[in-house]
Amino acid sequence: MEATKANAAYSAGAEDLGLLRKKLEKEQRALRIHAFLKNKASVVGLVLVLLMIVIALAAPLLTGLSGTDPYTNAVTQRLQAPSAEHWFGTDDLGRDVFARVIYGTRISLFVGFSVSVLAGAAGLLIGLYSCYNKVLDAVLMRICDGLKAVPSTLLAICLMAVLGPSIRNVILSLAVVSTPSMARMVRSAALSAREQTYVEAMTCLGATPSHILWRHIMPNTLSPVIVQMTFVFASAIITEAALSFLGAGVPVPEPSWGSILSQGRTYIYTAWWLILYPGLFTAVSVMGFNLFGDGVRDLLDPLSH
Amino acid sequence: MAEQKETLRVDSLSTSFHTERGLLKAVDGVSFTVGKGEILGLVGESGCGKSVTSQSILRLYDEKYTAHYEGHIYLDGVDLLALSPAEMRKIRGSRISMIFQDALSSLNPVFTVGSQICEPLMIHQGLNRKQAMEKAVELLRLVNIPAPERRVLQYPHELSGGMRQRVMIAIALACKPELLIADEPTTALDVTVQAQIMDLIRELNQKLGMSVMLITHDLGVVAETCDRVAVMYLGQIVEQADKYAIFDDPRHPYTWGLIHSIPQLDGDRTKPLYSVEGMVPLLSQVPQGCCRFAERCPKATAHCREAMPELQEVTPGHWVRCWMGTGEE
Repeated sequence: MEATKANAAYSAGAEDLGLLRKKLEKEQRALRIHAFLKNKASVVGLVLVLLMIVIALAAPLLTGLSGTDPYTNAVTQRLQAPSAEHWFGTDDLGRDVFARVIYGTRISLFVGFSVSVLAGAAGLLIGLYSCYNKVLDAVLMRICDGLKAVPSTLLAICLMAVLGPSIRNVILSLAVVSTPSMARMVRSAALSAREQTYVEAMTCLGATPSHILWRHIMPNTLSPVIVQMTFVFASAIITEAALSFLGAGVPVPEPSWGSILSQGRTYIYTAWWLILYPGLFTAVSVMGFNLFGDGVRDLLDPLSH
Repeated sequence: MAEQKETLRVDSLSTSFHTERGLLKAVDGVSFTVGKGEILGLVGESGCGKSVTSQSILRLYDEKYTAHYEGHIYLDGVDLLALSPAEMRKIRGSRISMIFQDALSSLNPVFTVGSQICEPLMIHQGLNRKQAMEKAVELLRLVNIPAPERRVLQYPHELSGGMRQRVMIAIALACKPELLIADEPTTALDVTVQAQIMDLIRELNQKLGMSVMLITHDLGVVAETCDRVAVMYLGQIVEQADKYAIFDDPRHPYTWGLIHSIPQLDGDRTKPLYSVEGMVPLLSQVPQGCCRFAERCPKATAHCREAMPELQEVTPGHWVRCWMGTGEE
């Protein structure tokens, strides 16, 4: 921004070139978007992701349309098949499955988003500082190794057992589970950036180590972090569903996809709709985020073309 | 020349590295001075310790795990090796600057060149971004980059090789350093651009009165640019003299070999070009207790293999590390 002003102040002749530059940037952006759109899989992913976000945001609106809500029990209407009144049928307590699945989208996306942001931030911090100090590196990386040695779902269950079931704790434990791989990735990207001559050149200019770390190494690790965050998003959704299915996740009566599935398990032979819809939503959203992540990776990583 | 005020005095500097094979000395007792406004050339084959010497001056190696320094490096009478890391950081980039061989990898690909020229100004002179950006434009003009107000907005990959090296020089000059260390600044460039960059360095040296330490293996560049030359072999200085003395009257067989392995325009084209036999030995296999060059030296005698010669002054200002240096040729 400041540069643009300096540019204008220094010569009038450069102004049209500034315009040219903007035009070029626009062109490049268009090219990238075109490349993204050309990849059918990532477009499908993008559409699914957007669809899920819209569903989550418009949940009250959608349930208003169907005239139902996710919490009201109606014992007289239990285990009804999908109909004009209950689009996805009702469960064993007579609650509307459509409303529950729609509200479940909110929980899943909230959990996925929080976990990916938390794990991204923690991974960035741990990864960067471990490339900065050898002792810290050894300590942090051994902790990460230890966390990675335990299967992630199992670790998440353990953490939930210790912390007690609540949405906040689900987010916390999933963030703990996803951070080690994020930290490892940041560390490797940071290590390779650290060996670049421009880092040495910055040292030659008298920059402090933390200045170099945050202003010069960090930006070079961001794109893998963003890509990894989309995958953490997807895996957080599915692990949250698994935890809730096992009763170690989002506490009832909150409508999590996993707990809807879990309750429906008993009636699997008589009420298929209890299994199909939450299962479908889980599968579709996870697939959407994974396809989207692949697309973002291709976009950000020039080597993968 | 010797009367000139010194900017830098390096006094028996040794740099050793901790490796799997133990402590290896890459630079072994190197002493030299760079006078005010002088251009000193540091030449030698790959692996002879030129770059290690220059990076030791800025203390760029990690002293905790990697390297160990001995000796003294005086910048205007202050011993750099005795400074704390924070004090050292104040020197880097403001009083001593360095430019590297490969300008593309020396520039961070994610920032515009303008913002990278701003960095030293913001670090050392406490300018804000806007002031620094205006200064950056001036600096780019100083290093003869056309349309500097446009270039500051561009990214390193958008510039040509010569342009990038100019940007590096602009960054190095930002705080008007007393000493510029140029580590093979033109190796990655083609010959025409190389000449332009060398001209620029010489011009700035004269205009700003800045001392330059030029590290290179290109004797042609040395002949054109430097005032004085130090020749290094295996971590030691083997010959140090005025540029003319080095080229007209090389006393060390290694210097002689280097000079004679350059093709001459009027040379005899039927004879193969001279080359210094053998290879630079690995650091762990440096010959001890004898002249380090003895194995490759065409004139080596038994005495050369038994004792290490010291640097001795053969004519005023001309120092040679050879048993035969004092005699004819």
